[in-house]
Amino acid sequence: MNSNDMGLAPEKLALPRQALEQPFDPATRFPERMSRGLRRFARQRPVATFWLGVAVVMVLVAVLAPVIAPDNPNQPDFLNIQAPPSGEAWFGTDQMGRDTFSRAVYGGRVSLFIAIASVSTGTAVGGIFGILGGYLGGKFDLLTQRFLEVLMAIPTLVLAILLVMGIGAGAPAVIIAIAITRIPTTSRVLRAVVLSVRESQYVDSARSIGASPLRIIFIHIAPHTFAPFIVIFTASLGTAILIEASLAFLGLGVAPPTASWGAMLGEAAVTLIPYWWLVAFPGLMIAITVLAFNLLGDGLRDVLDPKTRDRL
Amino acid sequence: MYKYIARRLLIAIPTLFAVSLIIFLLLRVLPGDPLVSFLGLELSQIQQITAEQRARLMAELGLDRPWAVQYAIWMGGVLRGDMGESFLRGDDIASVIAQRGMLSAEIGLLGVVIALLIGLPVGVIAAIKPNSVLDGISSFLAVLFLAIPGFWLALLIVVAGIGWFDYKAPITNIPPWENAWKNFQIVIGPAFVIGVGAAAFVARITRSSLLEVLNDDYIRTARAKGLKDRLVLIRHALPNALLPVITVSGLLLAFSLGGSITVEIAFVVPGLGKTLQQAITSRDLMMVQNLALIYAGIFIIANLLIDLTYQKIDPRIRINE
Repeated sequence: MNSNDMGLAPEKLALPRQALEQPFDPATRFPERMSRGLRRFARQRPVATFWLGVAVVMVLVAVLAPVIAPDNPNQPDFLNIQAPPSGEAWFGTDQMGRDTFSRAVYGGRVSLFIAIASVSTGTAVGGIFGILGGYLGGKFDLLTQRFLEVLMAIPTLVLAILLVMGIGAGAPAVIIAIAITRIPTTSRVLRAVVLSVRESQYVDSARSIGASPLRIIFIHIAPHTFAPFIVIFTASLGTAILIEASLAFLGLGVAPPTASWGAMLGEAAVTLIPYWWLVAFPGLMIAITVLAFNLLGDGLRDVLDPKTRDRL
Repeated sequence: MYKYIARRLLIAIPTLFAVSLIIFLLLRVLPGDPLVSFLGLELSQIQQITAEQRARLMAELGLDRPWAVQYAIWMGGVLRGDMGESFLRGDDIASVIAQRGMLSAEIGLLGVVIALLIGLPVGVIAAIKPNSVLDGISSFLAVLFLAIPGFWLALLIVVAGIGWFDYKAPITNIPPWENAWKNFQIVIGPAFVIGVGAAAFVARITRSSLLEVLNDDYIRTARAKGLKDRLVLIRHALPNALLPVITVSGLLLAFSLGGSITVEIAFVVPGLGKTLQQAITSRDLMMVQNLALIYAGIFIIANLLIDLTYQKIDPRIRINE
């Protein structure tokens, strides 16, 4: 073992260089800045960019489901039940003769929609709690933190199960349930960011020239939470898809016959001896999508917010 | 030291009560009719029940009382080890959980053992040779296992077992003292799936923590005085590097507990996961309520134990107190 092996981990030295490379020019038009940022991201993080592409493809497939799916996903065909994959039915057919490929495509719609809706709501609410708690401190902070700690004391899936049962089955219930499970993490991370910024000199200066608390929160503090927020948002999408799949697998997802990836696995598992194509393909879709969101989140974190690396 | 234990207990006990209250309230907001599961009838048949019969049934189940009274009765019972009766068949819930919890407990513990047996060595090797092929493989697997639903892996194993070896694990509830071999066949599958998933996590934490410690000055000192690499690693680096691994084992547990529900179902193990699923589909309030409390309770108590162990072995925590 030479000293190089034990040396500084190279990733520790990576600083957000982009700020130095190109001075910020407010006159630059937004699309131009976006494409410049994207090109820089592609250069610095090729792996994450690849997975960004995969995530975009998955979202496109979900949006364009009616164009892509060859069959009606809920149309039974009792002459063709449990057919193995073939040129006609790429992913085979299920217990009712429905085309598994079409169901996987439409199922992606449900799974992704639930994930995006729940993560948007959950991280937004959690973010507001975190920023307000961090800035205001005092009783509000204490109460919200205690409450969120209690929520975190319940294993995530168990909490989600209870919430869906309490709210009532169906997509809205699943969305709210997953959203609530996202609140504690988001609020904790953003609260820590606000706490570290709140005492800085420039916030003091803003206060001393008479800036209102709202102005301080929105103009001076909130922008600091933007990068960690984007990172949490992306990483949460993967978690949300996994929770949705588990709920649907347990029979707490969208009502049948609507397909979601988890529900398809649940249907496959009902028979004691499941057919391999009914198990393999929906699970593969989940794994690829979650992998894409997780690795995209990792790449974004390295570029946008290296400090939170250990905080998640 | 005792002060610290007392303080931690003072946090854990109210948390447990707050959790029980949340569980209780969430299930009362429920719009469904609890009689559906009790009578095992369809909704149309339920509607034919007269108001008088309904009132009597609700009274028998204790559902007509105010929430506060219901909660007090439930908690009072739980503290005495009586969890009430299942709506479904009137089974005594405590004995159902005792009977079926054995398999789940075995799976959980075996899963954690597998996670540590695989995760620790892989993490250490990856840290000693960072950016080597092995490090690359282990980080790839870690990322992969975080993205794969455990129950999918479980289903794949079941399908492969049947398809290639014509093998299926027994699906009965056999305690280890009756037939150890059969019992092992039941629990090893779920434990393996939970274990490898968690091992990926353990390996990543071990790696990053050990890499950090290996950069410390005292390691350079140890090496400078001519100590062999192996001794530097075992005697000086590992004890400190393993501390964060203990802290995150709480997360590890949350991961295993949540995952075990669906993984057990995928393997058709007659454990608590299956019991919970049956209770969910039949809307058996009492059963869901108690099972949720058990999952949350195990989680809280285990985290308490982890905290206490941690402060026992890391003197820095005590100084901060």
